This record gives sequence, C-alpha cells and structure tokens, in this order.
Amino acid sequence: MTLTLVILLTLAVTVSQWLAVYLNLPTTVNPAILLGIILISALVAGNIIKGKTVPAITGFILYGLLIGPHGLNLIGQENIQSLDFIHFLSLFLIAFLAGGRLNLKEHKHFYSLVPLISFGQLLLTLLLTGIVIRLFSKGLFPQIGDNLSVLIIYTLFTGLILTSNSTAAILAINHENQPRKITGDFILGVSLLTNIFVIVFFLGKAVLFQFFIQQNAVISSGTVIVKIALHLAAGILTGSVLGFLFVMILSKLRREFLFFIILFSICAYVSVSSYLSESLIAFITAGIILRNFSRRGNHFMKDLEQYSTPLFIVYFTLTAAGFNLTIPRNFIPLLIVLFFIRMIAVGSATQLTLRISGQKSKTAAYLSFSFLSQSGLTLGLLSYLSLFQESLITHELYAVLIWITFLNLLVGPPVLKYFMNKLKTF
Amino acid sequence: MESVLILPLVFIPVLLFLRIFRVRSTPSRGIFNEILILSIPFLSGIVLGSKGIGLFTDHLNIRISPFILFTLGFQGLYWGLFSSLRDIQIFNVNLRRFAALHTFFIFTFMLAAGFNLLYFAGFHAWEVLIGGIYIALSLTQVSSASIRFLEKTPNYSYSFAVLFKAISGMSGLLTIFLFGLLSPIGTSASMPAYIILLLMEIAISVFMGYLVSYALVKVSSHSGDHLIWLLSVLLLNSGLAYTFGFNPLFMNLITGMIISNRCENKQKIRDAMKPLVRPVILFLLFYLGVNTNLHPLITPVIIPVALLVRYILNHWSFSRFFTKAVIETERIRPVLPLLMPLGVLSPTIGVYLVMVSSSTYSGVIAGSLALAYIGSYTIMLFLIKNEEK
Repeated sequence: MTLTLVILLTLAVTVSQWLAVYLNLPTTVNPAILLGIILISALVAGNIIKGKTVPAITGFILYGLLIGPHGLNLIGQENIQSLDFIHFLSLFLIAFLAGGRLNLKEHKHFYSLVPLISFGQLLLTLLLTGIVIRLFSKGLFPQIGDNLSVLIIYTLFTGLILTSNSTAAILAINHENQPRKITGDFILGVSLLTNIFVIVFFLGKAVLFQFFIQQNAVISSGTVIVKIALHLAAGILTGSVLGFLFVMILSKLRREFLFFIILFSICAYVSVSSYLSESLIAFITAGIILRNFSRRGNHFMKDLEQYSTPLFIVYFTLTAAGFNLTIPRNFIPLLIVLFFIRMIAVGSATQLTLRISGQKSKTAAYLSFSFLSQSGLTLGLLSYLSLFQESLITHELYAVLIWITFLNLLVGPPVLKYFMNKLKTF
Repeated sequence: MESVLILPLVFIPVLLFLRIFRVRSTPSRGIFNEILILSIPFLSGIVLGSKGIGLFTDHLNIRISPFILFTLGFQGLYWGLFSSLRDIQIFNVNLRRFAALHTFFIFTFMLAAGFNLLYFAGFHAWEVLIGGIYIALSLTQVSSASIRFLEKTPNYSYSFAVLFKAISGMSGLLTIFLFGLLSPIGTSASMPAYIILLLMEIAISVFMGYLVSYALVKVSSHSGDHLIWLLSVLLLNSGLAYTFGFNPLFMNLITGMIISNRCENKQKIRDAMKPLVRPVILFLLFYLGVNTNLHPLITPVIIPVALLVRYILNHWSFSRFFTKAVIETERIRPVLPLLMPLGVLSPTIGVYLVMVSSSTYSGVIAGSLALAYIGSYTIMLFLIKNEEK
C-alpha cells in the first residue's frame, strides 16, 4: 500500500510536469511539494531495501538516482537547485552532528591512533594515485608530458578526492546499526580527521593548486603556507566562537536552540559560498566544543541524532539525484584501476596501523573496510575543478572521479554495515 | 531610517524593565525572559534583512521558501493534532459556547475597529479591507502561553488554568477556521469559484489526513518514521496551498484533526512534533523581522490602539459572558493580564500575508503584528507589576 502511495505521488508529479510542458506553464515544482515527496518516497525506498547487510541510505541513493535529471528525469536540475539551501543545511547539520559525536574525554587510548591512520590513508592514496596517473598519462593525459607541476596537480587533486570519505554515511549507518560505542566513535573519528586533512589542501580558495597552476610566479610557497594556516586558524577560531556561543545559548535557551543553529546556517549559506572548506571546519569544531564543553551538549546531540533521519534522506537523495554519470569509454580502465587503488590504499593504511598498534588481525581487517563511502564532501571538493582551465585538467578526469564517488557511495554503506555487524559479534 | 525607528521600539522596553522596574518576582522574570527571547529573532531578522546589512536577498528568500511554508503549515498541523473530536468533547457545552461566542465577538468588533482605524488614517479601500481582516484575525486568539507565567502566584488556580487553556485552544481553532474561510476570497474571482476553491482545499486536506493516518497506523511504528510522515504531509499541504492559493494553516489543521481522530497513538505523534514548536515560532518572528516595514501611523498608533481595544473587548467578554456561562462567580480581575498577550497565530498570519503579497503595505502590517506580539507581553508585564504593587 505504501509503495503504491509513493508510486502514485511520484506519478502525480510526473503527470503535472508533462501537463505543464504541454500547456506551456512553468515546469518547476514547488520546492515544498518536492521535498515532501522526496521525504516519503525515499523513506519507503529505504525501508524496502533495508536488510541485514544493505542499509536504508542505499535506498535513498537509488531513489535519488531514479528520479534525478540523469535518471528518469522526474525532477529537473532546476528543481534540485530550488532545494539547494535544504541540501546545504543538511550538509552543515551533519558536519555539526559529526563533530558533536566526538567525546574527547572518552577512548583516549585510540585517539592517538586516529591521526596515524588518517595520515597513512592520505599518504598511501597520494603515492599510489601518482603512480597510476603517471602510467596512464601518455594515453589519456598528454598535457602532463614531462611537466612536473602538471603531474603534481593531477596527483594531488585526484589523490585528495580519492582520500576523502563520507562521514555522513558513517553517521547514518551508526544511527541505523547502533554498533558498539567504541567502534562507532573510532570509525567516525578517523573519517572526520581524514576529511579535515583533505580539506586543508583546499583552504584559501585552493591556493595550493593556484600555486602550481600559476605562470608568472605571483604566489610564493611562503604565501601558500601562510594563507592555508590563516584560513585554517580562521575556520577553527570561528568554529570555537560559534561553539562557545552555542554552549551559552544551549544553557539558557534549550527549547529554542534549533532555531539558532538554523539561523547560523542561513548566515553561512549566504556569506561563505566560496569558503565551503573553512565553514565545514567551523561547524565541525562548533559541534566538538558543544559536545565537550556543555553539560547539555551530549543530551542535545543525542536528540539531534534521533531526529536526523530526515536530514540523511534529503542529503543522500539530493546528492544522488545530482550525479551525472557519463564517461568516455577509453577512461573506463582508469576508473576501474583508481577505484581499486583507493580501496587498497585506504584499507591497507588502516589495517597496517591497527596491526602495528597491537589490534587483532580480524578487527583490523574489518575496520579497514569502513571508509569506502564517498558523498557530498567529495562532490563539493570536486567543484573546485572550476578553478582549473579545461586545457589543464580535462573534463574526463572529472567524469572518472564522479563515477568513483558514485560507486563508493553505492558500495561503501553496505560494506560498512556488513563489517559493523561482524564486529558486533566478534 | 526605519530600522533606526524600529530598534528602540523593542530595546527601550527591555532596558526599562531591566534597569528601572527591577524584575525580581518569578512571573515578571519569566515574562521578561520571554520578551527577550522573542525580541532576539525579530531583531536578527531586521539586522540581516534589507533594513540592516542586506544579507537576506530575494534569491535567499526563494531558497528558504520551503522552510517558510513549513513553519506556516506547522502551526495548523500542530493545532489540529490537539483538536480531535474527543479533545473537544472533553469540554462542557458552556465552555464551548463561550469560546465560540468570545471568538466571534472579538473578531467582529476587532474587524470594525480595524476598518475604522485604517479608514480614518486615510488608507485606500482595498488596503482598509485587507488590513482590517488581517489585524482582526491576528488579534482574535487568546494566548494560552501566558498562563504559565502566573503559576507561582497566589492568584493562580489550577482549575482556572485548565479552563483558560481550553478557551485559548478553542479560540485558536476557530480563528484558523475563520482564516481558512476568508483567505480564498483574495484568490477567487467569483462566488462559485470561491466555493469550489474552498471545497477543493477541504477535500485535499481530508484525503491527506486519511492517507497519513493510514500510514501511521498500519505501516510505520518507529517514532522517527512518524516524524517523516508528518513533515512530508505538512510540506505537501503547504506546497499545494501555495501553488493553488489555498490556506496552508487551514489545510494542515484539517489534516491534523483527521490524524488525531484516527490514530490511537496520538500522544506519540504529538511528542514527535513537540521539539519543533519553539524554533518554528522564533523562525516566524525572524522572517517577519526580515520583511518588516514601518509606517508612521500604523506602527506607532494604529496597532497600540487596536491592542487597547482588544484588551477592553477581552475584558468585557470575559467578565460578561465567561463568568455567567462558565464559572458563575469566579473573580476575573486577578487574571486580567492573561488576556493581553497575542497568540502565536499573530506572527503566523503576518508571515502568510508577506508570502502572498510582496507589497510594502503587507510588510507594514506584518511587521506591526510582530511588534504587537512582542509588545503585548510587555504590556502584560506592566499589568502584572501593577498587580504586585
């Protein structure tokens, strides 16, 4: 019955779209109607697909793909854009929630491991990506040639995109699966720190990449370091101020707190569109501070998590709906190689570090499959590609990376859920 | 210039209470905090809006429109969830009769007062008509929130509090009904068109209500799923209302009433929505702050006069009808300050006006309603301080 209802609602939107085209009326569906339909339909899709191994978010993703402009085109690009703010709000609330899940007082023993794993993942992925890019450069990227700068840009950009993972997917599966607290917190901590490491390279409107691209040596290496450091400090400082402001507001205005978060998100949406990386760092920091410096922080974060399903639905459905999956045939081998390279690099770095620190081999093996998912952050970082000229980094590489993100978004969550279940019984 | 005018309007009373009146007693402090909390979003809206730093552009207004539609419909749905047949039947006939009588009495007289005030202020006929209706609707509801500030005073009696909440609930319900019946007038060209629009509105709301209650009863048992179903129906109703010129409050009220009537676990459903109540009110005030406009006559003169008329009418209605119809001999004087604050429907109706019309005049009426909402608590504080003396 529920499925029939969803099909009916979706059909109603489709018919109204066709009618609008036929009658020469505006084809944009009211965003509120669209959001309402997405919420119900994706929930039902998630509940249908949800099983012992497959998480509900896979249902949200598949539904998003189905209705998106590159799927059945039930909702167009214009409609997706009309929900831009809601998508942004869910991304920021998820970042805030991710920061708010980290309790710095608990699990001190594994927090020393987290930076090592994150750094290992970054290093190994960059190394292997560099080798792959070099091998494929002759056939696919002739502009690299013997130019070291171009090779560095290709390696750095591709490697960083491949290193990033989806904290949102980890949060969603943690919420659904309720793993052992230590396991959940550990995976989340590594994911968050790895993403922060990646984000750092894109700070200051990707000044590092601009340094490698420049022709006239206007930007010096010192400028790059200073600018990145300043932007990182600004992000952390803003987040700290925001966090302590939230601590104060939460202690006085508990019932109204959600309004203030939305208010700050609106301000962030308007003012920081070109500083996505900095704002994400700020919201994560604010979440960490609220969780660790407020008496009510833990309680609030639990409440927020309890009500987080609509956020995940909107986030994953809209992310999946935005995928444009077209790729030239000659790039498919590169796609396959990079997909497996990422899996190997991220997995090996995690497993190796855990084994060295004395973890059991099975635990290390299970945990090493936790970071496959990629989603909105990766897509956000991919948008920095607009900084480069088409002649420098080709659109085909973008298509390859979009495909990898899509595959990881599809494969990552079930794999994570499967190994989380294994860890529960282990 | 307008923002310079508007800021003292909110800040001066706050500073006065803080410094001069030294709010120490529990009810006064509670009301003072409430004024402060309500002022924050309204002032933030002014600061971020076009009167302030201009962060809130037309582009952003379009982007957050689902959010605004959501907050508008929320008031209707939440009211509906508390208005099942069983909820209404709990009150005796006298109470229900008084609530109806009081609502229509206040609405009629406020409508007359609104028309006269706007007419004598020199507005055009169309502005007098629209402004009068919106002012009357916004000032009709009796706020139930005010009773909680008197809980620790000697004048407080539990039985009276229950009666008062019942009346305020009923008056809110009837105000939304009135609002729902009146608002299609603006979008329909003829009487048959009005009736068709109204019937369509009711039919869609009833259909949505049955659909969601079926889903809530048969399909989903998880409280997280309840929330999603409710949010979805709220958004669908509000979106449809905006597209076809229906009233989102009215539509969601009917849907909420049906859900509340048909679902056994309605307390669970209400609890799922409860954490959103306060953020929604603050968001409405914020949005009003963004879109507010000041008028040299409406803002400082007409609205305060309308508030005064409302207070006198409320006072008269309660002392004449209420004591006769409901509790016979109850002394009404100690609770008179409760009749001062406006209900949450005032900012909601203001936001609706801004959504359906982008004229400066709508901004003036809407901004004045927000100020009246905050100001009504300020006057309540005055009255309570006076009682304490």
